Amino acid sequence: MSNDNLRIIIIGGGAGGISAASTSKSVAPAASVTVFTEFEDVAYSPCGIPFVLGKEIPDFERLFLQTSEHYASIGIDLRLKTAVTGIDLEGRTVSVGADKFPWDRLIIATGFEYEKPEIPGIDLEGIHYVKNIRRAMEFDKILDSVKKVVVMAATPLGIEIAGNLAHRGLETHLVDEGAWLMSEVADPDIMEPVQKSLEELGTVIHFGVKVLEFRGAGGKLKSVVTTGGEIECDVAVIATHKKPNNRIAREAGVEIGSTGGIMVDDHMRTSVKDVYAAGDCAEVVHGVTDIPIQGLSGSHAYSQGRVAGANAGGVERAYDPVFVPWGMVGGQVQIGGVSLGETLHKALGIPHFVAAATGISRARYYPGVTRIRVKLIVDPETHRVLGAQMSGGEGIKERADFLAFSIKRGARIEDFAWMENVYSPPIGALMEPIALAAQAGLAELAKKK
Amino acid sequence: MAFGSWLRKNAEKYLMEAARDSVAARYPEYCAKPYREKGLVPFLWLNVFVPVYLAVPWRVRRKIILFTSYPGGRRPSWKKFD
Repeated sequence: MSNDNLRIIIIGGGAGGISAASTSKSVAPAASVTVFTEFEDVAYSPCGIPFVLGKEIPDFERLFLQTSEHYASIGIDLRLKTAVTGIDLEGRTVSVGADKFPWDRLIIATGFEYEKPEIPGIDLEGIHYVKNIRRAMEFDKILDSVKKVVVMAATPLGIEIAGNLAHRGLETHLVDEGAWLMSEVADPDIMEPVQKSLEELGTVIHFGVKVLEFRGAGGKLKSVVTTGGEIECDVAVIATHKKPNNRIAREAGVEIGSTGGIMVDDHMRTSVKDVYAAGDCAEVVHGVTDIPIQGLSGSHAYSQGRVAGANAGGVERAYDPVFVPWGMVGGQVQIGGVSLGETLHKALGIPHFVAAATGISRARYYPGVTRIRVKLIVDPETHRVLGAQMSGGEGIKERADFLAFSIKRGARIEDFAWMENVYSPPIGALMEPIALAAQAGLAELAKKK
Repeated sequence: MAFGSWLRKNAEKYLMEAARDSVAARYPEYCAKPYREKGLVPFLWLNVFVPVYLAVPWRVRRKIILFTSYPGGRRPSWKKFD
């Protein structure tokens, strides 16, 4: 088919959808590219919302990366507040109510939705989810008049919200069933500095408790009842799991994988010819285990959108399995890693040993120096590094990116132990903490021989 | 819920519980007591499924996981790194 007449429709205006639209338009300028989104806005950073709520960022306007007019100026037909209600795979149309729009290539980028906990009182006024920027703006105004907040679940979002609301000066309670923060993805020794930092900010953390009920009066939330007691509050934030928003894809007959995400190959092609998927609604392959995973970062969604957009526009592009470098700030502490940590390796039963050490971020005498803990998870047979976790005051993101790149290329613990590193007192210590961890791991191995 | 999704959801939940208990035993100074559901169903998952799962060699187990992850075991085309 000539690209001159190509009609590309994208469902969803988040990172995956917008990057798909921009890439399609750039590789196939003559194609018609239409984006449907049920929301009022596109091209903003939802990941910045907790920091505006915490007054770290002064206003929501800064989170917008592009205007709607920009997309019109590059020839993208952006349909805001227009929810696609169905997909006809046979007739190759999408429906918006009674209206039908034909496509030659379809990209599904419908993102995620929060798992709504089945807890009595979940629909009370005062219970909030943090996702959409307009709702966050409304929530921000509400926060001006409240004193006590309960955040449910110590997930990455829950930790960001709890830290930021405490920073804002609110009495903040973080409630979680686990034994440590982010216990589903991170290890306790890595999270301990974050816990301390959150507590220093004033967050009250309730570990090992389950939320039983949201209790209200006159339809408004008044308290959260847990197995550890009742916590009075004015509002609650639900920060539980994200799940793929796959409803219209599933109803249309597009194949869904075991994670609940839309199954795609490395070209972001779904089970249906000329239909692609990208971002949080899709599942992709994990580079270390080969197992499909879902629900990654905005940068993953953006990259997947670019691949889907290029292929839909007729230019072949492939997406590699993911090694998932991640990082965030919890309280005042940076944490991050690559792939899976110790806990997840244990859960999956992947043979491994742990190499860990604590180093420093700058020369030990230089003002601002902080400790950096590095844990490498290593295959005992091949010595290939499988994953890593880190915490510290600075430089975690760069180390996570470097480790992800190295692990993807099969680096072994010996490679890290004897790596070269930058030494400059204001920005780097004599001994790189990653190298220290690797050397400690090798020393442990030598003892066992 | 399809069998693959049901199995993955429950397996993840109880394998994570067992792994977290094991990690907590290694780092007790950083851990509180977690919430745990009681009853026959959690007991069976934790005391039957988890030990059986962990007794199977990883290479075999990974193949089973991959087979049950995709309808009919058909993995879409992706680059392999190992």
